[in-house]
Amino acid sequence: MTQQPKDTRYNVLVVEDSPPMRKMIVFALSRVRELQVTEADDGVDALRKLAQQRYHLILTDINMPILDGLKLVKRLRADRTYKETPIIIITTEGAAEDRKRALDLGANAYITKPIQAPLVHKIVRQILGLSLT
Amino acid sequence: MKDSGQKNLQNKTEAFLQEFFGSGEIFVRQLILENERLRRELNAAAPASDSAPEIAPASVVEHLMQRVAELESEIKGRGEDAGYPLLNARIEELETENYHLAAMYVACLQFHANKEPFEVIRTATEILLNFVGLGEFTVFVVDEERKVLFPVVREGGDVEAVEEIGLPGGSLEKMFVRPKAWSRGDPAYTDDQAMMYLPLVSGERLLSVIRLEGFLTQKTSFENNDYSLLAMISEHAGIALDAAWARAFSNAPPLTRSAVEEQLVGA
Repeated sequence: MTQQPKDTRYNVLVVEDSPPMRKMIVFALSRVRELQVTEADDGVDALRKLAQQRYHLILTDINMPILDGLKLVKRLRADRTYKETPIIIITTEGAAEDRKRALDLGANAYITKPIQAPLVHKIVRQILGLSLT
Repeated sequence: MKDSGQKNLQNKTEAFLQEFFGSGEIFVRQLILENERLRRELNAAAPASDSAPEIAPASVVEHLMQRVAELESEIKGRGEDAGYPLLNARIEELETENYHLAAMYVACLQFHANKEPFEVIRTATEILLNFVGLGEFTVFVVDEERKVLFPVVREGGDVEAVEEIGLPGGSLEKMFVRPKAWSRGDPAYTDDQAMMYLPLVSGERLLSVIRLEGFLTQKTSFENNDYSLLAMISEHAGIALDAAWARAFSNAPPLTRSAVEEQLVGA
């Protein structure tokens, strides 16, 4: 379970290069009122935003230009601030190899596309230790 | 002295409250008894019939109220133990429905936000892959001079391996001759290579066709919501592609009053 933030809202970063997919993940997360969600276009944009503010949870796609999700997970696990921060990877069911690599690198969980909003809620709530109802 | 005075005042207050509520309780009991007496008199004067059933005694009402309280408590206990399964299922259903509507909105908005033809095709690809759950499909664009469909994007395979599809005389000729965006309930153009050929249409112009060939591994069939998304792609991706294509070849003059009025009123 991640550390409870002082203002009771958890900062969540969604890293996804596909605009419609990113918007849908943000929409799904916006249904959980304890979250404050920020979007990043790719791994580089994510690193910039992670340096500006403390995030409590990161959801990242794997296949992205410039800096992909696997490299992002590796960078975060080597970072003192984010080495313990929960990371959920967003992947396709067929990409089992990538998923395994991401989990080996230190990602905490994964969700598969097409995403199911109730399942995303459940996983995020479990990881953050929020009530399931 | 001060403490003793306060204690005395407190005792007096408590005594008054006890007397007040005690009198209230006695009064309520007297009312119930009086109600019982009146009910017996009424029932004796007018025996019960189908149209006028016997008036329930206060004790019955009291019993029912008690039973209601018991049942409420039981339901509450059950709900908490089981995590409100019915309520949670309904919430999940509404969340899914809500998510689907949002997907429709986001996808539609994204099509019309695209300025270049390749962006429209990329959006269609992302929606089919990430929202519908298709893992194999080919996007064809119409060559209006040669009357063929030529492949531009393929998901789940090599686009170079896909051949052009001739429109005249083929099974897709009708799609080209009388273009119409696909709607839920319309028959799907299909053959042994495709689950469905999805036309992208703008007005009376067929611009593109997407051949839907296979699902992602975790999916085996279309769901109800998928048809709405396919219909939306058929119509809105077609319009967006048409607009992007026109924009690609236009030298749009700056917005001026005279130019706008000329367009609006033909002045």
